Amino acid sequence: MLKVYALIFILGILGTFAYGAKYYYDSTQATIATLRENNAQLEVAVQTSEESIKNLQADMQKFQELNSKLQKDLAQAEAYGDELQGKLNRMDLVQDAIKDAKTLEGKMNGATAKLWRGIIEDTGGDGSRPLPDWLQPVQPEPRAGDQSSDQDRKDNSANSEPTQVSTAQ
Amino acid sequence: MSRPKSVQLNDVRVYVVNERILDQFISEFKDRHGEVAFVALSMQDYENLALNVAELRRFINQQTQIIVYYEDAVKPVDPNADDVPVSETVVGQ
Repeated sequence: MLKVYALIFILGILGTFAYGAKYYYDSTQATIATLRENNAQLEVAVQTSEESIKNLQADMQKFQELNSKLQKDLAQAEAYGDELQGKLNRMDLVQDAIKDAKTLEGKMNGATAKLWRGIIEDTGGDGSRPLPDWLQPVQPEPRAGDQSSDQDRKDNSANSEPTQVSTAQ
Repeated sequence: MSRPKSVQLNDVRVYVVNERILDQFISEFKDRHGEVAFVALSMQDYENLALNVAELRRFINQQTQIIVYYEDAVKPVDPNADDVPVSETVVGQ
């Protein structure tokens, strides 16, 4: 009878160990699975973060380039006004008009025509349209009879006498 | 959205007249236009007008450059990527 109790006791001990081992195995496997899942999520998170950093860096570089270009273009847009201001400061239009009104008139009309075409081009239009008929490019050696050869040209302003014009402002 | 159509500007003729050729100018002007009626500007006002137009041109050009800046800014870095700005992609993730 004692042997039977001893056997039951030993089997109980062994069963407890076996259950403990099984429990330990199962819980360890569950922990490993959880850790593997967490690891996968962390890898995705790291990958996303790296992509975000890469995108941010690319974005930053792009905006730096765009800002630099914008500053350059904004400064360039000031050029015409600065140039005109400088030119007007250097010139004395009143004296020029008293000395030679026709030459000044030609320069003014040429500059005005060029300005309109420049603005048309700036806004996306065709700035290369021909000059009006009453404007003529400066000839190397203008002669008095030259205008008679121009009679077949279309004229928008009635009876207008063309002015010699320099498109240089 | 497309840009607004370009400006259509008409040519403007300027007459420069001094005291010496004033009578001749009036005579020629009458022959050309029928009546003697014109707008006169002093040289200073002409300069101001020219500078005003130059200032408007500067504004138009700078405004255009800013529009171009924003157009470029919203373009994706990778042309093959979705048509979504990079910054929005990052913030949404």
